[in-house]
Amino acid sequence: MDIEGYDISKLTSKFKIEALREILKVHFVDSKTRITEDTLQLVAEVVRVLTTEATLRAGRQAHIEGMTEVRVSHVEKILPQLMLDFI
Amino acid sequence: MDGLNHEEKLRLTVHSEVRKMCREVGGQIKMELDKDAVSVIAELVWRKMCVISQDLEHFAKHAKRSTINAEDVKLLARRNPSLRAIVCRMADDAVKKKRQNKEKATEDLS
Repeated sequence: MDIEGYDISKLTSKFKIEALREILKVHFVDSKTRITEDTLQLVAEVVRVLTTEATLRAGRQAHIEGMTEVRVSHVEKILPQLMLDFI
Repeated sequence: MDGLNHEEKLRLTVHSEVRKMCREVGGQIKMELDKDAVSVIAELVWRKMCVISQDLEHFAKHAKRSTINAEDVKLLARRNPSLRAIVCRMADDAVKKKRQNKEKATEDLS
């Protein structure tokens, strides 16, 4: 697969739902706050898209620079636009 | 893992999940990510999760609910049309599936 034509439906990795629940819980202010499993699936997908976009964009940057290994400098270059796109 | 507090353990979990995902994507686009690049992506995912958590809680509270639901996640994605489309499609598919399962269950009973 190339970067431009990347198909996320071919990605098998998913975030563990129970781990996600624990992570969100740590940052809740109110102890009464709950989240259902269905809703966690949606959040997992958002996080999956974020991770994939970060990897693809950094990969594209490395490719533009003629490299096959993605380094921190490549991630740094794509970070501002990524953050703006995921506000 | 002894001597690590709860938050540190969760950070490690995020790091390992992100590493797994970056490796798979990397494999698919035929690129490798060096370990520091993965760490930076894992850190940004962790920080985003912190913000997402607080936002979702606030949205639910604003709607006078204590349980976060799909509407809150759709609101989270409001500024990015393609992300919002992904969330809406997934939420609608889940609702459809539930309805189908319910219909099938009532059919089986009758």
